[in-house]
Amino acid sequence: MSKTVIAAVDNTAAAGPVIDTALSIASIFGADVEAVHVREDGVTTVTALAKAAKVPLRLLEGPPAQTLIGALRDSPTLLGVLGIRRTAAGHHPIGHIVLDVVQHANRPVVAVPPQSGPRIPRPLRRLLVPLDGTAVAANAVDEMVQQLCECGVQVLALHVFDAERVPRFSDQPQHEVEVWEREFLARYCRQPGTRLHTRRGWASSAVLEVATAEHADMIALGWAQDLSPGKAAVVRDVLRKATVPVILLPLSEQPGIGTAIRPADVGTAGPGRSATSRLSSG
Amino acid sequence: MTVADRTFEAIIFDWDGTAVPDRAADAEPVRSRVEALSQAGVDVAVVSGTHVSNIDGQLRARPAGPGRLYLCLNRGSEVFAVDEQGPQLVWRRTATPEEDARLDRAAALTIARLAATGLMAVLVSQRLNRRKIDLIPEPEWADPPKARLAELLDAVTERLRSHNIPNLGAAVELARDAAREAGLDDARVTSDAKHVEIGLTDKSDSARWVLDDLWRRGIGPGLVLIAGDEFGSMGGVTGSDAWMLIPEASRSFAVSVGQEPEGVPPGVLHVSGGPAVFVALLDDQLSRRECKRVPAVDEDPAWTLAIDGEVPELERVHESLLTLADGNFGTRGSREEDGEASDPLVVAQGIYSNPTGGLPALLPAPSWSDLTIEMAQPVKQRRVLDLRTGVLLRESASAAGSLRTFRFSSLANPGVMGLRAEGPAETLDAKPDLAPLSIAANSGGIAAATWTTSRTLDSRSTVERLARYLANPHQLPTVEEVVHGSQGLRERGFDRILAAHRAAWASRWADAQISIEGDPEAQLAARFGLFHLMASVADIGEAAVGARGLSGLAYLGHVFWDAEVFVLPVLAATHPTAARAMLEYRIRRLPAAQAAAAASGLCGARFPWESAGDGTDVTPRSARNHDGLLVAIPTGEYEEHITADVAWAAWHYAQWSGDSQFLSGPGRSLIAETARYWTSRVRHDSSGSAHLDGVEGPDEYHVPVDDNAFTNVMARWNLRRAAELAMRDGQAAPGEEIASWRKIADALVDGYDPTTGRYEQFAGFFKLEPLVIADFAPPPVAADVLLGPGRVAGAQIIKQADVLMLHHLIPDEVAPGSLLPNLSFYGPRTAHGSSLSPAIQAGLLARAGQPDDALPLLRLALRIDLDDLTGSTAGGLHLATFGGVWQALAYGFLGLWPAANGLTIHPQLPGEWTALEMTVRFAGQRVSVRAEPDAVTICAGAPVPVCLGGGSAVEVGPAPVQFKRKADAWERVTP
Repeated sequence: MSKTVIAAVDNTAAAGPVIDTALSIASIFGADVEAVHVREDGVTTVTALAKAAKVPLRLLEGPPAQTLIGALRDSPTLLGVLGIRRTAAGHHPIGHIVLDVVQHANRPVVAVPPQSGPRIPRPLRRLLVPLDGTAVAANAVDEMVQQLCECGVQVLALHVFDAERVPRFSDQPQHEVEVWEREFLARYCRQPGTRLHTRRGWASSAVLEVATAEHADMIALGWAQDLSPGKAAVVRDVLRKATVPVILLPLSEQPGIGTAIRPADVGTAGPGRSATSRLSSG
Repeated sequence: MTVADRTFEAIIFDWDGTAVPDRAADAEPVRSRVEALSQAGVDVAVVSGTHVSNIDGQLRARPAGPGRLYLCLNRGSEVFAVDEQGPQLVWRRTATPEEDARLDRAAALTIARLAATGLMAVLVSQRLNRRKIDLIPEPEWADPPKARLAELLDAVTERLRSHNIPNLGAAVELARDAAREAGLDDARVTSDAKHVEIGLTDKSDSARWVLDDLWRRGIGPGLVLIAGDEFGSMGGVTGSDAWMLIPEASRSFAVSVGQEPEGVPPGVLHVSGGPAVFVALLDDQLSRRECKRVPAVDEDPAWTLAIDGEVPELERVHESLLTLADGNFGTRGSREEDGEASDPLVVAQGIYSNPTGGLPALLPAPSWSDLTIEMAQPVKQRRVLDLRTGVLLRESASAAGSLRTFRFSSLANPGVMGLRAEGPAETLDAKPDLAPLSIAANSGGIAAATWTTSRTLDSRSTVERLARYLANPHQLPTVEEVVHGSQGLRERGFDRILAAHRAAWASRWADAQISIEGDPEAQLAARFGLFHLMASVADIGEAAVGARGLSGLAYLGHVFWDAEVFVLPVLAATHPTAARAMLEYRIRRLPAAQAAAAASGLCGARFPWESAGDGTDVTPRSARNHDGLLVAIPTGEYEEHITADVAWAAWHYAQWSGDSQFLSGPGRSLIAETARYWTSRVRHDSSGSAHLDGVEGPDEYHVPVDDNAFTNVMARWNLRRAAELAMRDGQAAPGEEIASWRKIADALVDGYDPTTGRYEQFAGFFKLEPLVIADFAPPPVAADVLLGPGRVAGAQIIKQADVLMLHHLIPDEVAPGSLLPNLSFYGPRTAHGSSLSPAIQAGLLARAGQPDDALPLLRLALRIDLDDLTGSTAGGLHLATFGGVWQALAYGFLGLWPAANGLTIHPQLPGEWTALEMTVRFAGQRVSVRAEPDAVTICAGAPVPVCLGGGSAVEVGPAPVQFKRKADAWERVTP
């Protein structure tokens, strides 16, 4: 059974970029695209859009968010694509349906920002992968990144040093940075040809800045699907301000196999701590 | 017969009943095997209560070596070494007349007390250091064979009971009480059922002597087999062979071939079968040698680093931690089959290459440790690095069977490496040998070759490989050179090369002991660092010690001040020839340093911040920072203090070693030429004060700065030492120049404010934003990354000790009493964003009398690589941190310092430690210092002057001298 990319479309201008993005991703994975629409009012616009894009349209009934979440659960579904908000100048920076869906979907979701100008379908060539230096986050994006990389997508990794992730030591930057970056990639993003960018400051600002500067076509974020107050500030901020699609990848349930490259508190953990535990002598 | 899947390096065994059934038996089966074991490199020790005529007369072994044969006789009172010429006495415990009298008195008392019960006992002979009392002097039991031991015990017990002595144990206790009454508090009272013996020694002394001898040659107790036939108790008396199971032998493998009617103690394997089985055990060990089985490691938790399991994300870190090096060549601890996560590497010190025209970097050499290993789903993975002997053992297990590899990089023969492996034939295969080749570097290069033998027997393969590497920084070694001599190498064989390697490490450790009692984790970590320091520095020719040593390519192998200021002191105090080789590296690059000074229109010599092969500055001029921005790297231009650091290292080496010839020769050139640099580098103001403008101190958050206190005071010290040296050697420089050195030294401003006791780190530092690091993050933290380079440059936040490095390096050059005020001012401002920082601060806090505050910083430094606290250990180990740790322990907690009037000692122990003991070499002598909370014990190979706690110098020699703390002073309590 071939995989399907679900494109959730509505009757607004946001639907066009959603279809385009779904087609772009599906072509990479060799997947089919199915447009789905939760009937709220008329279907003329979405029918025309699907027809123009030559993708089948499935009409669904029910509460929009729950219905889309249910559609994404279908076994052939690879991922879902939906709009972040209806218009570029929309009142709400992130639509409530997308917020609901991304928190509860059991598949990756690509959130697509609306475009203010005419539609310019962009092939997916460059993927920006922000990594916080934990195995958990790396594991969340690893499989998707690997598949995209194998399909010729260039991976740009990004690590942002903020107050939470500042290194303890940095001896001679002319050597240290290179060594540190090499090991960072070896641990957290082993795809050949990956370039690591580093920034200092607010993570979301850096993500958006690098995405623009490096002409990324999509941003991949691993996350815990929790938008409660105080959580996922980076995801929320990036969704609000991104000008390219953002793929949200749920964190893996499996425990991390490594430890953050930024060491934890002395005496509690660190990459070498487990390494030096002893067996009793013979 | 296999009793343990282990190849032992030494076998200690009892004679009667174990090796032979009785004294009349033909010992040829044992003799032939003992001689064969010796030929295979195994040490053998026979332990017996009788004298040499009896044992040698029966054994008659004349081993040719290399394994040694010892006869440990007369119940622990004598040791004979046996070679082709026969036995030679090597040690004897000689009783004093007073002890002899006490033994007589003890025996008489024992016989009298037995007689008081009506039991007649007889003093049968007066053996060396003991008295033997026959409890059953009856013809039937005159000379009972071992086979009748149970009967004998019954007869003796019956005889004792008939006189109201419940058992043999009670008779022994009676004799022990008598000995105590006779004034022998440490009498050794034993019994063989027929006799009770009161002596000054017993088999424990034999075992201790042998284990000590083995330890000094790198053979730990875990590599020793102890065999006997009487480990179990007998009639309430400890079995005679159990005396060999001393605490030091806790990791030895003990096996009994005796009847053991009352069983054996825990930890002893009972196989029974007598001498025939014992001979089979020897045959098993000979067979293992013949089959080139993988040697064992003595898994002493105080000396071994064990890594269990497989974590791909940490593999490169582990490879760094498990690096083996011989001072000249380093091999990362990669698995023999490498793998995706692996970053294998072999490098030679001082051999640099930059084929693409970039910066010179250590030249990777071909690997010698590759094997084909295909092990599906291992259920167990384990690697053990033995720090004491520099060997790496790997054990893996899967459904197919177990696999072991063992390798070393010979400290005794740098450039020679050995590898053995064994495992299921379908799992293990030797790769083709490395054909002799040579690889050119920028200058010189490396030549290498390997020789492998392998065989498969009963579906198990064994592989043995010897490798030979040559490196020359000036001339490319040829293939012929590396092949030449290989025949001798192979004839010498793996086992002999390994034995020499183990002995070399043991010898190295004898001069560099560290024991931290009460803190085993800190002790192991300190030994780990010292192991890698000693392994990373060559001791012949020149030693280019890169920031990560021979454990990785990070920092490209470039030589920084890390070498002189952090690494060299350790070697100067433990292995001076290696420190001398480090200085030779600078001496040979003095012309390049002179050229660098001249290129700037200055005199003397300016050493580069980063140095590689030719001694020119190889500091990158720009690099990407953590912001992802390409930024200028100022260290090469401004961090000039390295020039004085080199001079300091030369002086410091001489302080430890007493190598006056060095200071009269090449060392003086280093110190004079660096002094000349400062004379031309200073700016004089209108008042006559001298300044150093536009420099960078150890605190690299502020650059460039004027009048950095560290740079200025180091330069001042440099100038004064140059003058002192010139005067000492009869005005080795023109008088005007000497006067000029002194004048400029006196004129150099140092930023010291006597009212506060503080040095200003550089001109204007006190006017910067007065921040402390705790306002932002708990240290250690890379504050330049946290706050940004601009913010830290405008604040009083510093990367690492700067002013305080003066108190660390040249305590006599700074204002008296200034340590505490500067510690309290700069301490809270120090981010410890450099891996060099925590250990130095720990040492200073200890020196300032705050050892408990120092301990957390020391522990932080101890874990930097073990816990990969920098995230860059994968690129190699932080040698300077290791050096800082040793200095914190030696100069801080133990308060050692090589002063002109002797070795000063001023211990400051944290409350958690019960003792800190270190061994160093001072003035050509090995000196051991043990500090306990209220006592210090010192001994030296030959008399050396020591000054304890600020007191006057006293001479201490081989006899340990103990001092006790009395109020604020130390009082000598032993003569």
